[in-house]
Amino acid sequence: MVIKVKTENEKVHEWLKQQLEDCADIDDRELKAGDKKAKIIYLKSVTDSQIINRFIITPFYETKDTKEFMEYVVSFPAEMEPKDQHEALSQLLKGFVIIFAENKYVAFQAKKMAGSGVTEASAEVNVQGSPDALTENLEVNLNLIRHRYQTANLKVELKVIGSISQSAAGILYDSTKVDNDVLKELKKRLDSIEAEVLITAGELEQELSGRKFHIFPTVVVTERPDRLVKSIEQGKIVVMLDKTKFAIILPSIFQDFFAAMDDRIQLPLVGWFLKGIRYAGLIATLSLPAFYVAFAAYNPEILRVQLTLMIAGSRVPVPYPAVIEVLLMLIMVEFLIEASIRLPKTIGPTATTVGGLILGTAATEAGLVGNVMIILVSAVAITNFVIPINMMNFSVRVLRYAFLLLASLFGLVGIVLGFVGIVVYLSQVRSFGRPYFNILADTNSRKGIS
Amino acid sequence: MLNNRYFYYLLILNGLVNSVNFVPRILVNKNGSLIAIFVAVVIGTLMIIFTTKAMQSFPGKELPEILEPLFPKFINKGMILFFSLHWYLFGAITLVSLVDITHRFITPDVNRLMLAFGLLALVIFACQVESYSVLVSIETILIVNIPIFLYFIIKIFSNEFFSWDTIREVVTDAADMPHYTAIAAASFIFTGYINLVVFNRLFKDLKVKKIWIIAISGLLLLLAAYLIPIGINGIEGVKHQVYPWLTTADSNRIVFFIIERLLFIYYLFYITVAVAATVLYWHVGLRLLQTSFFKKTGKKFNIKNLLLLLIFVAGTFFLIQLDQFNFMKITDWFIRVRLISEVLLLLMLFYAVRRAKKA
Repeated sequence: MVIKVKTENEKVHEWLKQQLEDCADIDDRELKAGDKKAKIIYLKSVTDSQIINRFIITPFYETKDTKEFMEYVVSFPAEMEPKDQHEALSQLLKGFVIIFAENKYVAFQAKKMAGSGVTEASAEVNVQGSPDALTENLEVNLNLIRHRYQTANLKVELKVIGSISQSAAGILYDSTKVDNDVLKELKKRLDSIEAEVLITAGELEQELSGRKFHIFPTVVVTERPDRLVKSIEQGKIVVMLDKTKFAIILPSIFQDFFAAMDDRIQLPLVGWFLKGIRYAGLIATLSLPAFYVAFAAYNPEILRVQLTLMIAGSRVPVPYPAVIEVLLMLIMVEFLIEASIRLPKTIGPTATTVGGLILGTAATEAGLVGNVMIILVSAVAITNFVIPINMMNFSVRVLRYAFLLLASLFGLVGIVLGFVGIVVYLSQVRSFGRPYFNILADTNSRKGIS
Repeated sequence: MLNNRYFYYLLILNGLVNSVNFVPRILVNKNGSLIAIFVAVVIGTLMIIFTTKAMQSFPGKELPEILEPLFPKFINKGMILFFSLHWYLFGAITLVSLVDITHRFITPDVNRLMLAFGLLALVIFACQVESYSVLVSIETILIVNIPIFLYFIIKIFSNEFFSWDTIREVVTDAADMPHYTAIAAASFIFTGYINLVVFNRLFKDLKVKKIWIIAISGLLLLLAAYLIPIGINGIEGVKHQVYPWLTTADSNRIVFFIIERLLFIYYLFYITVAVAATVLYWHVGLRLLQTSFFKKTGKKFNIKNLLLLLIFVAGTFFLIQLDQFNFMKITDWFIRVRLISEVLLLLMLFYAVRRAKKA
């Protein structure tokens, strides 16, 4: 937009400077060569100085006059013309350079990308699948998806969430396969988000799911582009948040959390076996401590005599009831896991080794816990990590204590009640209005019924 | 819209839960039960055919909606109250016998009331979820449990002390007149279809194909329910048992396994199936009462619902404090009355179909 009165240009310049008072990273300089005159203003922290040198400052001194310079600048696709000073300010904050010359001002994109390049997946590792993970940059992520899903049906809609963080969220879906009710519902929920700052995909998941107290995640949070593409192909919707390495997939079903991306690489029989192992791991990690309590405290006669005697024998020096024993060890293992996640890589192994040794050998020798208990707790800790998606992992970790409580109150019956309760709970959970759990993974039979 | 397989789950669940608790006790105590079983198979199959046919003329409708144009309001409400009492009573009876079994056989250390409280908490939570969710839960529980049940059956038949001679004796003595209670008890196995009064809302075009499979599997289930306890306990011995199937299960031993007593495998199967059945029946009872007495859109829905559930719970606690003899009497009466009410319901459905066709 050309501003007729010359002072207008200066006014805008003054206003911008005023707004960014006390910002140490602002750079406001005048370019001057003979008759040629121009002013540029930009934030050093978000702009790339090389771009500014190469595309703005050097051409300024090489062109004949300011008019030619402006024509040169305008020819770039990175150039934009702000409507008014407010837009100019927001562009300035995003990493644009505002150029004042020839009675008008234009914005020139010189964004500095502080994101990392495409790296290998770290939270969701697999053996033979593609190693790529998402990056912090939405455009790079879109690129990763588009390369794997080359059809015009792949639609990308952008929405801005968070009144201060101004995070861009990309909604990706295949227009021929998507469930339109879910899409509508998603947009409605995205619009109703009132958070000021939204940085991680996990926060977005919580804002979207609506319910405050739910134990199972209803959307998959993942960092793998291949998983995203697979989901889009199944008619699901992917929401990618700029500046995070994670995207969310919705609507999801319970079984999604137990599928790893290299399952399909394996031979079918092996794939089935691996899936079976994961569900067995789920049941084991949920119920082993509870079963121990039930067997030791309520129903020792269930097991065959040799086993019962062995458990009883290992508990001989233990001075408290089985529940306390289990609880003590489980909490110690939780501490160990928490500590080894947060510790720097150099200290991590030491801590776990020391912790493992103390918990394992010394505790049994001191008679604080039984031998069988140690084996059980380590089995529980290991089986927990069999579940491929992290969020489900953590849910299961919490649920284990509910089972422990039930077993300590009702014995064996409590565990059964717990499982029935979980089945009912799961079957009434909805992910964006779609059924979440069905043992045959047939959640389609109900489309259309509200 | 819902896949028709869910209808069969209703049948299977009801068959499984009944074939092991009250039904065998009544069958082994009456003469002429073998004939009664065959009569019951015929009655049960016919009931399934007729009721599903009648229900198909009202796709997507519940019983209160079907009855609405037939009679004046208060008769309708009275009927719904009468019928829903059956569902409630059946759920409560199953729950109370579950408490009794658990306390007697599994965890004598746990207080009965405490146990009842735990079970009720679960059932009250579960019976209030959407109808679809109830079906999905039942599906899950059945798919997990049917292998356990098959293992159990195979294990018992392979028991070396299973007496085929006793069974031959039963078959050769079969010529007695069947007792009405035995017929009513045996036909109870087929009653799962009755839950359509609520679930009909979800099935858009329900077609029951291959009815003979249902009939034959019902017959096999009944024969197993009747003959297995006799084969293990003997004709006279089994009459002393309150829970014939539990003592049968407890007389078996698994030699090469971590769990030694077969009772626990059986109990694991029975408790899950029985809890699922209680959830199902209370859900249906609750739904019937809710739709005809207070709508979900109503203002005071929550309060009324809570009151209703409190009545459910209070009734259950009343049943729990009864002694076993009186409790068994109530269940026997329930089983006898049930068949009549079922026929009554069917007749009413026929009347509704005729009215709908005329209009």
